[in-house]
Amino acid sequence: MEKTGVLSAKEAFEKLEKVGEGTYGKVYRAREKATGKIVALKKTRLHEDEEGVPPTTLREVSILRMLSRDPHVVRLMDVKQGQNKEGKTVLYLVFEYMDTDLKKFIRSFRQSGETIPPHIIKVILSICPSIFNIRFFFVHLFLSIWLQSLMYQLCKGVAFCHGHGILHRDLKPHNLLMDRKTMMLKIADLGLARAFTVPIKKYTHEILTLWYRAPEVLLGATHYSMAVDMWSVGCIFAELVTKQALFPGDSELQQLLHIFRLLGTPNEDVWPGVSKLMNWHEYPQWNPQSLSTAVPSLDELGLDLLSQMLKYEPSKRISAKKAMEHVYFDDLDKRHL
Amino acid sequence: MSVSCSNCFPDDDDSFLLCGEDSSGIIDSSPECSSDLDSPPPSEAEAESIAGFIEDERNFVPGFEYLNRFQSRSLDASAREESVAWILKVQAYYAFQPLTAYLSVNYLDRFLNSRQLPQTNGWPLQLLSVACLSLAAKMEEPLVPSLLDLQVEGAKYVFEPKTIRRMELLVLGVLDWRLRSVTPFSFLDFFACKLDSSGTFTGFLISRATQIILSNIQEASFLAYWPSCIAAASILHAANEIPNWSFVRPEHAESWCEGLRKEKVIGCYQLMQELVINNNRRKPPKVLPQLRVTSRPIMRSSVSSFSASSSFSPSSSLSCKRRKLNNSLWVDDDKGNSK
Repeated sequence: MEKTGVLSAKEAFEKLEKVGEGTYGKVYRAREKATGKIVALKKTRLHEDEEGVPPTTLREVSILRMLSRDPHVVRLMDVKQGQNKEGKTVLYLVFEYMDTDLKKFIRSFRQSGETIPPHIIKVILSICPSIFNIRFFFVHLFLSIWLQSLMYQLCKGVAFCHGHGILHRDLKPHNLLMDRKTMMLKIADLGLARAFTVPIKKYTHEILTLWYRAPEVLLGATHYSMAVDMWSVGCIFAELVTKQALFPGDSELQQLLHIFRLLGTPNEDVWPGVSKLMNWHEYPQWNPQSLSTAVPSLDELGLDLLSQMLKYEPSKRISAKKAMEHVYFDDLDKRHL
Repeated sequence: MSVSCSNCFPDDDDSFLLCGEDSSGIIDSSPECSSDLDSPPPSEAEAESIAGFIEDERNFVPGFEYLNRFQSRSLDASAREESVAWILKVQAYYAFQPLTAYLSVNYLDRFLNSRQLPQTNGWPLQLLSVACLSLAAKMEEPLVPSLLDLQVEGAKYVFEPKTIRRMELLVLGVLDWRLRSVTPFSFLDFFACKLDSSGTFTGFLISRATQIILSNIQEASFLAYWPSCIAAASILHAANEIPNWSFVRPEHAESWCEGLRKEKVIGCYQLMQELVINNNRRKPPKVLPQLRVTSRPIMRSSVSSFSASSSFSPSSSLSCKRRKLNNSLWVDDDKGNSK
């Protein structure tokens, strides 16, 4: 981390506006008085109970201490201690400020009817100058490069986490922060993240927002590893293309049925051991559909990558590092990412 | 980065402790480590993770000079041993994961490596032990006992939650919030699979190696070895307990992953063997009758920074509320704001 918390939060920062609310407190956009730099302050209340620093805060901060040096993980700049009006201890996590997240970004795209803002065109040209030479100014081509860039950054961030033994366990568009100007994407909200020991260990399966939850977790597997994050990455990939959630279930059962309708009901042939999982029942039998029915505008290479992210058998699912090497990303100038 | 903790124990805070001293014997616990016997062999991605752990592990061990301080007697090895024994007893009492106990000791050692306690045993070390165990439990356990309930199994002093909370913040500041330590458990599954690719004995190897690691963390000599080395030595030690596996030699470990040094693994392995022999010779500890002592260390701001000039004054007359808890006494602070 960059600084030592010498000044209290109140002395060091000027709160500008509330930008969100998390489990343990509010998130503010703030200005650092000494430098004028805009930051995000995540306020963590310690006084809710007498049990000290909350586990999610401990996990998030300690994991960020390990991962924050990666450009695709949100940077934790400092932790400040302060007191609220009642004199109770409050912790402020000081993050670099990112002006949007992928959820908002997708929503704004959906509302604007796929028109591309000029600043995005500028960024895309810097990432892939060959477009300019060929003079292909078609919307879908811009979107394709934009999509490749975001997906590559996401895979790179996830690969970094996994390389340091960290499962995120809650990857979703809302937890992927973005800078609109530079189109830089960063993984955030590591409160649910866990360290894993390889190959696999038992973890609770009550994790992950339903829509991005891997089938092995839904079916009650307590042994899982990096593949759960890659399933989430696949769901996010499809959502970036269609601007709609790929599997929008409203219960665990409905979530499974959404998955089975598209990918076919799994069996021992495609996924050895599936019928032994805790929540396995006799489900309706569906045949697998082509992924292009769900994501029609994605090109062949993109569909190939997506299919590898959405493999039923966790051990067969592509790793983040392997995904970065996929031919789908060959057009990108990766030096900028 | 650190949290500013200069006001962790403010001058005007009159929190104090009424303590019950307990000299019960150390219970040797050997918890099991759950593992699938049919774990798949390590994948390429997992091998990369191991390389990451090897790269990071040096950031999560106290320096060699810390071990020297025990050898030169400037740090009290028996006081550390007692603290670790208490942590292991609480771990067994609540059936915490082995990793939780190991992390607690890791935090304790890293703190003591960076900061001087006002006295090398007694209540400051007990407070540090409770704070480290609390932090480790919150990092790893799905269900964490309250700060009061954590102080069981012969805790000599019972601290108020707000005192522990301040100590937690101090520990976090000193450790720079780096609680996600690389430990021997980060390597066990991988090394077990390397040694036994068939998977026949991996469950036993991991479980037994876990017991070996936990039974040795009281011994300060192991601070000379990094987590990967301890993991390799404990897996080898476990392997030698399997009939017809005497062909396994410490030298084999060098090929398991880059960064393991043969001579270090051999040294650690030999130390483990010596300790097994010594433990077999050791007589069971004498259990003394429980003593109940009341003392009142006044926590001044100098205590928060653990400077050598800290003063402690036991108090004779105590008019305060008492609460009996697990054979120890707990008191609210002077202001009478009982929780």
